[in-house]
Amino acid sequence: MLSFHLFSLALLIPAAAWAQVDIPPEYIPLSAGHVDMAFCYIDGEWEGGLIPDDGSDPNQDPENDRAIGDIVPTDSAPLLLRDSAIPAGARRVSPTGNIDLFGNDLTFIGVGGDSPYWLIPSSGSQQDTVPFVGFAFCADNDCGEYVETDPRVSNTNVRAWITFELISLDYFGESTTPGQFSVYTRKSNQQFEHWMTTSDGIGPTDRFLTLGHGHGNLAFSQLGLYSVKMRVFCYEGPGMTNKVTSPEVTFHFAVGTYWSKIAEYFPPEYWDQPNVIGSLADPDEDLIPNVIEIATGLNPNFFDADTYSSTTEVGLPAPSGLNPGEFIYSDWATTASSQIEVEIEASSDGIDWSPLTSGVTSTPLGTDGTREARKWSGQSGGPQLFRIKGTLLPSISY
Amino acid sequence: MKHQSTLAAGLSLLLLTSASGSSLFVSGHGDLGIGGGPASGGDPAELELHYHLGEDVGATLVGGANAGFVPDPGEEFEVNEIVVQVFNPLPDTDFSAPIFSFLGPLGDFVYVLPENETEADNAGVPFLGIGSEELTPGDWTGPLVLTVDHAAYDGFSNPGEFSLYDFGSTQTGAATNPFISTSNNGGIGFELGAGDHTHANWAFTAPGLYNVPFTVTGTPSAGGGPVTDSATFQFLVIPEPSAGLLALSSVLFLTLRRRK
Repeated sequence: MLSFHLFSLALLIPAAAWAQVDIPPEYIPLSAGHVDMAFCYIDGEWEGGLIPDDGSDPNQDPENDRAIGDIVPTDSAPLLLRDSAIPAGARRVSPTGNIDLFGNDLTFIGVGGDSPYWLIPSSGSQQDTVPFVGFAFCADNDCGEYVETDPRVSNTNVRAWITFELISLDYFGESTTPGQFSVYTRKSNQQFEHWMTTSDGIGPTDRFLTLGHGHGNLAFSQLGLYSVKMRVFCYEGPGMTNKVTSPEVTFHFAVGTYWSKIAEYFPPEYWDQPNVIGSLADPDEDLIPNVIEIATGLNPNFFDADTYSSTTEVGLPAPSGLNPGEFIYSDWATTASSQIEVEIEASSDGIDWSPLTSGVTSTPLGTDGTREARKWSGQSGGPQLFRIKGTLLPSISY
Repeated sequence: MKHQSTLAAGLSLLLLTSASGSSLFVSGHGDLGIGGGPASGGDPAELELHYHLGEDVGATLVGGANAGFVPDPGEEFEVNEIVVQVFNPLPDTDFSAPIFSFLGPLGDFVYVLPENETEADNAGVPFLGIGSEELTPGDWTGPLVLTVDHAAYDGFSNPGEFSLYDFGSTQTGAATNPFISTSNNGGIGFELGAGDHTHANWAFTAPGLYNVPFTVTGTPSAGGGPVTDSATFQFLVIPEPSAGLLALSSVLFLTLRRRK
């Protein structure tokens, strides 16, 4: 559990030159709507990326809309799995004993029983907080048709199968256990079919088969950032003997609210740098670590230490200016949705600190249950020094 | 009343539905379409049931007046032009969990068109959804509701029971939602917003030809109360055939015999 204290005397922070990660204008993370991990084979050339395909679905991402049908480079569009409580986000909890009602063992996801994991569901209603991610293939002339012999396929017809191969997984986060990635489907009698599972290593069976478009349940075992490298192959030519393989393409996922916010500010090329993405990192050099920046709604990629929540819904705690001895602040609520626990501590001498437990009122901000405004009314002769404590939690139970 | 069906197969150049010219929808993506309104050249306060086939993955039609491959984008067909084939080479056999009691009395197999496209493709069966993309959301108040007329269903002497269900978006297994269940005349109906598109599991408990009388109900925003449309959709559930019969699927001659 990582935590950091920040004195509200941040007024003393010098406005020094600061580093900022350049964000290209085309960098737009996707947090909702239908989008496919896609490979296209046109004129003998491969192109891989993401194809937003919201169609007429009313739940397409209102914030980060993209033109339907464009092939978007994956480095400019990480997929965000927020964890907000309202509406339900990506978080699931494995059953006791890790065996569900239908005898499915969830160990392959990389978690034990009664443990959280995070899911992009294969079907069901689309959600505003989780993108609906599928697999897709397009071509100007279809790859050849053949009878697929993978034991997971019972279709004995000659069809134009496309195979997605899992090449590698890179996990970046602060979990002591590396994150695992898996793809599985749920049959009509609720039995699982496993397609890709990294918890047992990556091998030739880690593949997903489709006739052009399909969805699986995409599961992630830990909070953090995931870069999943895939490629596809199909067959062409007489006798379907010519195997045609695409270049490898890496798809990026940010799991959890904190990590989704990090992905909004830092493209995947920075995800392997703990001094940029870490909860205690301070990449913008404003002496406010990421965990506090995100908890208070600040930008971890911008020198904004002089932003105070006395006038806006974001920023550091500050005197309200209206009533002496009173200050207000807003933060990501200490709920299952935030993964950040926020406390204000007070002291009279700068040595002994204790949490402010009385006189604090809380008001929700927005409608998704992730942020709240807090107001503390001080008392004459009370503590003179305050500091904010932010803790990035590895996991939170409902 | 339980019925027993016998299916005989042979070589001939068409087919169970030759009289009406219907085609078998045997694979690919298609939807039970809910249309009407200005986009269809109709009244905003009208609903109309139909099929649209060949969505993101083309659909294959066998026999009848529309035999062939329906590529993207979706093409519309009248309800009586299509019979949906339900055929699982390796049927899921274990539906014994109590949560599946809504399916009704089970025989050797349950035949399912899955809600998941990958499972449908892998099983070699149609990926059948329900779509109302033609409708404008603002023209309708509340969801559209698709139901089955249970009395009419029983009147068709169908060979088994029909259910429509899904697993919900949690995908945790706990939420199995039986929207329609003919075994107990139950289910709350399948709700869908205007302009929406989704999928569910279509389950049948025995082989044979099913006539499923659907009704869709919606409430126009302009007032005037709910409006409906009804149509009977046909599903041909065939048991596990030999590979040879499968190869001859385009020239199957099927005769249905029922006896009480």
